[in-house]
Amino acid sequence: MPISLLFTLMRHEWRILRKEIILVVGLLGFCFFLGGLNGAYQLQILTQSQAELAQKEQQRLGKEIAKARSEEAQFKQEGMPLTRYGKSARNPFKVAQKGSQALLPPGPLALLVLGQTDLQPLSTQISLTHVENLPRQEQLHHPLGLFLGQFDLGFVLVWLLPLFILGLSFDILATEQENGSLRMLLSMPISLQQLALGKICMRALVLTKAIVIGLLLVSLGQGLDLRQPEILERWLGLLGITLLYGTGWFALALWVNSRKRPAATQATILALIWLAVLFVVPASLNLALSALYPLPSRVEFTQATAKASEKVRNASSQLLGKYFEDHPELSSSKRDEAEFNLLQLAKEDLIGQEITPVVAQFRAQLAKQRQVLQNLQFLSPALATQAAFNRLAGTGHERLEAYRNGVEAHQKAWRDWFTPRIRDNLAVQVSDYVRLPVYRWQEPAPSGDKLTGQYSLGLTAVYLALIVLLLGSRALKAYQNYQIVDS
Amino acid sequence: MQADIIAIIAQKEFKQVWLDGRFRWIFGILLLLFGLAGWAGFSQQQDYRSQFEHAMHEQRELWVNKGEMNPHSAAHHGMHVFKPASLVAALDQGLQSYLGVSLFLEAHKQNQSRYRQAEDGTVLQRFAVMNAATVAEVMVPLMIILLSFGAFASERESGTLRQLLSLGLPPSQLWLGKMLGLSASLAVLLLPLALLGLGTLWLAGGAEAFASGAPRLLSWLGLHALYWLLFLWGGLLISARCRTARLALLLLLAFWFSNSFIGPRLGMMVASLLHKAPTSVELQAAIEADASQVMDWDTRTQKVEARLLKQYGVKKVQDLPVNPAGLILADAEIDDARVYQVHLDHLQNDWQNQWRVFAKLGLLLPGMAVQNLSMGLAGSDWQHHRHFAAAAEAYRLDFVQRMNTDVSRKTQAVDAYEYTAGKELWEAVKPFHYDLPALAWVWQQQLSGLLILAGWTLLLALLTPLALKRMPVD
Repeated sequence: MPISLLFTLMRHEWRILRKEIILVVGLLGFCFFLGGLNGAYQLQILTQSQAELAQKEQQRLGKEIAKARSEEAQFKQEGMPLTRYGKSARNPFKVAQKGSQALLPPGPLALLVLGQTDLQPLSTQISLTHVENLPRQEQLHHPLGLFLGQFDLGFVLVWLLPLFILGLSFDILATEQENGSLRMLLSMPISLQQLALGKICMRALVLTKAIVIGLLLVSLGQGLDLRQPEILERWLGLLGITLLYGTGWFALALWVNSRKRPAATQATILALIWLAVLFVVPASLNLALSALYPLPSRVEFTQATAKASEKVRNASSQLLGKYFEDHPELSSSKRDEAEFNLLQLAKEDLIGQEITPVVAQFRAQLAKQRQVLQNLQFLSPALATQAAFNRLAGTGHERLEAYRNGVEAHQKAWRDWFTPRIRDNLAVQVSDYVRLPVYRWQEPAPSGDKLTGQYSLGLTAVYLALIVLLLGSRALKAYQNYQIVDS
Repeated sequence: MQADIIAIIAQKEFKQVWLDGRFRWIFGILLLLFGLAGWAGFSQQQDYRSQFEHAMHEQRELWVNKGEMNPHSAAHHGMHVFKPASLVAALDQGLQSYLGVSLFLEAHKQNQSRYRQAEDGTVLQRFAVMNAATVAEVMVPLMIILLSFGAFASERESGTLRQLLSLGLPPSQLWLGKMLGLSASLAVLLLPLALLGLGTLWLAGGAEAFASGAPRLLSWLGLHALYWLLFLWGGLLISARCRTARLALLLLLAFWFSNSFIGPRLGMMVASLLHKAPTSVELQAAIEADASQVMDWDTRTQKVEARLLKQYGVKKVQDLPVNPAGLILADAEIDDARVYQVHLDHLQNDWQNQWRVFAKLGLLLPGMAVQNLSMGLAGSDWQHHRHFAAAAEAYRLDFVQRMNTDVSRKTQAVDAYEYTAGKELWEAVKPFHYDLPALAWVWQQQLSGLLILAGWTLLLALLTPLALKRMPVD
C-alpha cells in the first residue's frame, strides 16, 4: 500500500473522529496526571522518611562518638589503656548491637511504577542478631490501600490504556457496514485491508503521541533526571514495552473487527477478552499457585524463631560451654571480663544456627513459587507487562531480594569486624568509627542477571511483538473474506 | 390477569437465558469459579486454622515452661499471639495478607503486627485475586450487564417493543416481568452457592462454627444477592432509556469498569490525600518524644513510695508490707501504655477517616460499599484487625501488670530483681482467647455501606417510573 494513501486515510479518519479521540486522549491525559501525582506524592513521603531516618542515625552516631571521645579523654587522663572500656560507651558488644543502618532507596522509576514499593521496608538496623530478626522500619499505609494497590502510571498503562484503545477501536467497520457507508468508501480505489489498517494506524498514532508526551510530561515535571544514562535506559525500556503492549491491543481490536459482528457484540467480546487477560487469567493463576505452591507459612516461621530463642535462652550456660568447645580460640581469651559479651554473642550465634534451616526452607519454597511464576507469567500479556514494568522501575520483588542479600552481606562484614573485638574484649576506639563497615546499596541492573533478568525482559518484548504479529497477520488475512454486503 | 402477563414475560426471559448456549457456558464457568475459589479459600482457612491452633498451643507451652525467672523479665520475654480466622473468610480473604499474622506482646511496648504475607509475594499476588467475593463482585455484575443491556434496547431495535406496547401492556409490567425472569436466572447461581457454603460450614466447622458462621454467611449471600439485583435493575433502566443496544452496553461497561477497577484505587488515593496519616518515622518520633517526657525513674520512685507510705501509714520504705519496686514498674507501665495508645489511636483514627472517605465514595460506585461490607462480614477487614489488636493490648497490659504486681507482692525479703517466680505464676496467666465480634457489631461498623445500598435502592425505585415513562419506543 502506498504510504501516501495510508496517510490520506488517516487524515480522513481523524477529521471524522476528532471529537471522540480528543475526549479519549483527554481522559488518558487526566489519568496520567492522577497517576503521576500519586507516584510523586508516595515517593516524596518515602524519600522524606528516609532522609529523617538517615539524619536520626547520623545524630545517634555523633552522640555515640562524642561519648566515646569523652571516655577516651578520661582514660588518657587516668593513664588507662584505650583498649579497655567503661560502662557502655565503647563496649564492643553494645556498639555492635546498636548497629548500622541499611536504607532501601526507592527504585529509579518508582515515580512511574510504584510496584511493590509500599510493601518494602524503609531501612533495617543491622546488628549481630539474625537477619530475619533484625528490627526493620516498615512503612505505614492503610491496609485497604495496600490491598487495592496504587493508582500509579503503571496501573494506567497496564489496566486503563487497553480500555481506551478498545473504546476507540471496537467499532472500526461494523457500524459503517451496517449503515451502508462502507460500500461507498470502498468504491474508492482502496482495499478493505488498507481501510481497516488506516483507521487503526490513525488511532494508534494519536495514542502513541499521547503516551510519549504524557510520560515525558510526568517524568520531567516530577524531576526525573532522564539525562542519566541508566535512568534513560530504563525509561526507554518502559516506553518500548508500553508501545508493544498497546499495539497488541490494537492488533486484537483489528482482529475482532475482522470477524464482522455487530458493534455491540464486538464490544462484548473485547470486554470479555480484557477481563480474561487482566483479571481472570492472572487471578486463576494466583489461585492455582497459592494452592499448588503456597507461600510458606509465616505462622510456622514465627513459631520456629520463638522456639529457637527460647531453647537457646533455657540452655544458655550449657550452650555457652558447647560454644567454647566449638570455638577453642575463645577460651584462651579473658573469659571473666568478656563473659557477658561472649554469652550474648554465643546466644545470637546459636539462635542463628537454630533459625537458619527454617529460613532456608522458607526461602527455598518462596524461590520455587517465584520460579513457577516466572514461567507462567506469559499466560497473560498484562501480567508479563506489569512484571517487566516493576523490573524496569526497580520496584518488584527482585529489589527486596537484592536488598536482603545486601543486608546479609553487610551483616557478615559487621559481624566479622566485631567478633574478634568481642572475643578479645577490646574497646571500640574513636579512630575505629571510620573503619566500621558501611552499608552501600547496589542498584541491581534492570535486566538482572542473564539467566533470569535479561531473559525475561527480552522475552517479554519478543512475546508482546509476537502477539502483535500473530493477531495483526490473522486480522489482515481475515479482511480478505469480509463480506461488505450482507447476502 | 396482570400477574399472568408478568409471569409470562418472566418465563420468557428465563427461558431465553437458558436457551442461549453462551449464557449456559457463562453460568457454568461462574459456578466453576465459585467452586474452585471457594474450595481454595476454604482450604487456606483450614490450613491457617490448624497452624493457628498449633501455634497458640506451642506459645502457651513456651510461656508456661519458661522455668524460673524474674516476673518482670518474663514480661519482657513476652509472648506471640495469633489472630484467629473465621471460616467465612474463605469467601473473602480481604486484607488478611496485608495485616500480619501475629502480635508480639511484651512489657513497655505496644508492637504492630508482623510478617504480612503480602511482603513475600510477587507481582502476581497483588495483580488480581480470585475468591468467591471477586467472582461475585466483578464477574457476576459483568454477566448481569450482558443479560440486561439488550432487554429493552434489542426489542426496540428489532421492533418487538412497539408490538408489545401496542397490545396495551404497561411498560412497568414489562419491566417487572423482565426483572423477575432475569432475577430467577441469577437465583440459579446463588442457590448452589448458598447450599455449598452452608454445607461446608456445617461439615468442616461443626455445630459451633455453624452457629457463629451461618449468620455471617447468610448475610454475605444476602448482600451479594441485593448487589446483583441492583445491577440488574440499573441495567434494565439503562436499556429502557437508551435508543440503541450499543449505547446501553457502552454505558454499562463504562460503569462496570469504573465500579470494579478504577474507583476503588482512585478512591483510596483520594482518601489518603484528604486525610494524611503519620508515616512510620513520624509515628516513632512522636512516641519517642512523648516517652522521653514520661516521669524519670527517681521521681517515679519517690512518688510511688510516698503514696505507699501514706496508704499503709508507715514512715519507712522498709516497713511497707509490699515491695515498691513492682508497683513502680506497674506505674511506669501505665504511662508507657498510654504513650503508645495515644499515638496509635491517632494513626488509627486517621486511617478510620481515610476509610470513611472511601466508604462514602460508595455513593458514586456501590461496588466499593459492597467490597467493604463483604470483607466486614467475612471478618477480614481492617476493623476486625483493630478489634483484635485492642483485645491483644488489653491482654498484654493485664499480664504485664500481673507480673509487675507479683514482684511487689512477693519480694519483700529479697532484692526485687533477684526474685524469681515459676510455673505457678506463669500458669496463673490465662491463655489469650479471642472471639470474633458479633454480627451486630459488623452492621454497626458498616452502617454507612448499608445506608448507601439503601440509597441506591431508593434512587433506582425513584428513577424507574421516570425512565419507563420516557422510554423511547422506536
